[in-house]
Amino acid sequence: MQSETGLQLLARLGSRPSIAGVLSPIFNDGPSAKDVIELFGTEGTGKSEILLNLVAGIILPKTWKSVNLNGKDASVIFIDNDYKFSILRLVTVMENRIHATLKNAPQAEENLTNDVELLIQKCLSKLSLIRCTNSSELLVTLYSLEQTLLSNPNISVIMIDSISAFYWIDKCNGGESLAAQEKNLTLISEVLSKFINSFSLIVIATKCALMKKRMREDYNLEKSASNIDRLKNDHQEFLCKAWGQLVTQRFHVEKQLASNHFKCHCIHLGSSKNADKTVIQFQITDNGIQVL
Amino acid sequence: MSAVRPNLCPQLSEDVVSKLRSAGVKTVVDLIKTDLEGLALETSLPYKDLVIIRRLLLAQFSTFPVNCSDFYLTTIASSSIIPTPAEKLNELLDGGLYTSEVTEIAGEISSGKTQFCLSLCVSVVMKARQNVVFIDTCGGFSADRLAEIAESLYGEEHLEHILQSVKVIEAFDIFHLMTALQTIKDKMVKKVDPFYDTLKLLVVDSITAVIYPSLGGQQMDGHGLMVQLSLKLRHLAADFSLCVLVVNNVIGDGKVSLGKTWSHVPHCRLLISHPKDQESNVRELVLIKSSRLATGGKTKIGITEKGIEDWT
Repeated sequence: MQSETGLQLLARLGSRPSIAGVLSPIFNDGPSAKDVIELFGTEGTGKSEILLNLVAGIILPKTWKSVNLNGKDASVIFIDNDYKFSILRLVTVMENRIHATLKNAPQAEENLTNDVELLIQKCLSKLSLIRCTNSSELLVTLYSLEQTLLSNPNISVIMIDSISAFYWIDKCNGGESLAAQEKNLTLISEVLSKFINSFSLIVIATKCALMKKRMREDYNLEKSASNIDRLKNDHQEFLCKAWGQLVTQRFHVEKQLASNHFKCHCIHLGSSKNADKTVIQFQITDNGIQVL
Repeated sequence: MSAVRPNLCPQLSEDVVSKLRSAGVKTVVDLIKTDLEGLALETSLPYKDLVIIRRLLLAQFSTFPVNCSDFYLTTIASSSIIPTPAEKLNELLDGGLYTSEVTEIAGEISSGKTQFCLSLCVSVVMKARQNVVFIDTCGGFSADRLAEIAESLYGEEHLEHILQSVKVIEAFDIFHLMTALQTIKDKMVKKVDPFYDTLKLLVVDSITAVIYPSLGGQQMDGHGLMVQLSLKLRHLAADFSLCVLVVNNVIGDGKVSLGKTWSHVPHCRLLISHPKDQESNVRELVLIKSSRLATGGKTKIGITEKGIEDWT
């Protein structure tokens, strides 16, 4: 018989703050509870930038001094395996976002600079940063988060930048057996899946395109295929099966060198095929992501 | 993954460990993921003890979350920007090279990569009053050239100080390089050598020379080593607010070498090349990757006896 403690029951039934519409239109009116979103792309395509913008939108309050900041007032756990999280960039994005909103708000008082700083400080306390140095440390850390998640009902998202960080190290340490190579990531996926189900969490992870898609014989056929098919074929799952099954939405991020614009394609996995063919173009400015 | 062994925590005696082992619990992960009630029945160890052991091991082997409002304050207090000797380049990089970041400069043979590094060493010592560790992996470091740059910019009276503030470590393969990085880390943690208290810039010239020999073929070991090395560099940069500058090569038509996995490593990537229609000492620098700035910006520098400087 399965038993659970009162705390677990509350965590399972109680609702966590919704972050729906936080970075629309890239995520449409999502992400919704229990989504597992994977951001996939080569280097410098704005994956981490999307995460930072999401964080900014999530931890800001809904309103502040009767100005509508359109934040979600929720907490985030950010797992930085790549050691690339830049808090300074996050603060810049938040500051610019607040100032841009204040400019358009007639009721705003002047000279709020100090207050903005205090507000940002307050918001940042809703963000926890974890830096892991190898995959078993990540696994143990995830296990240890269970208590945190139980006691803090305000946490609605876990972000992982990136889930592929330890891929090569695990591959080398695992020896010949594929199962041993993928052991840690499989266990990590299991823990995440447990969290998602018992806490209605959202997981957003980046995955670096670490290898080229192998050319297949029918490559010429693929060339003529539509854009979305090309992208589907562009992606090659190299992480373990457990992770692949966990992902519900995959976003392909691309960069167009000529225009410095970024392109984001959403692909819903599991559900009806090619249901969503939206392509969002955005650019990255000092204020963060600007959708074109 | 660490094995469950005696003395990891007080409750883990030899006896307990052998009982756990006979129940198939060998590593820390095994213990953490197993259902403790079942394990207590199987090993006849008290459930309470198992819970305590699990909690202690969790604390010992996990990373503690950092609250970002504290993290922000420490970052602001510890981070700095290292200006390069060329003003226009600083504008391109929004001030210069940032601490806690890995910056990469890539270019063909004799495109001025090492000159850029040497010039930066001098400006870090004189402008920022900080120390430099220069890891030379291919014998490209020239103390004479460093002295020439230093002397022509700041005169003979500062020469000794500048040369004393740059430490050169030779490491000709990836294992020596990793050992060298570990030694630097140890010294920064222990704080016994005053040189490392003011260390701000770590140069690896070049990273390609040590990684390339281990890549290729059917073996995956090379990739594993490369990622290990890249993590070591990033940890050093982040944990000690260092600025890490690595030198890379390009292959063929301006493609940076070391492939897709490495390309995710640097925060900033500068491409240095010699424009064909320009004089022989002029170089063009292009920012091709950055985690905080718009990419594609260009600037020209000239290489003279004073190192690198703006070219107008």
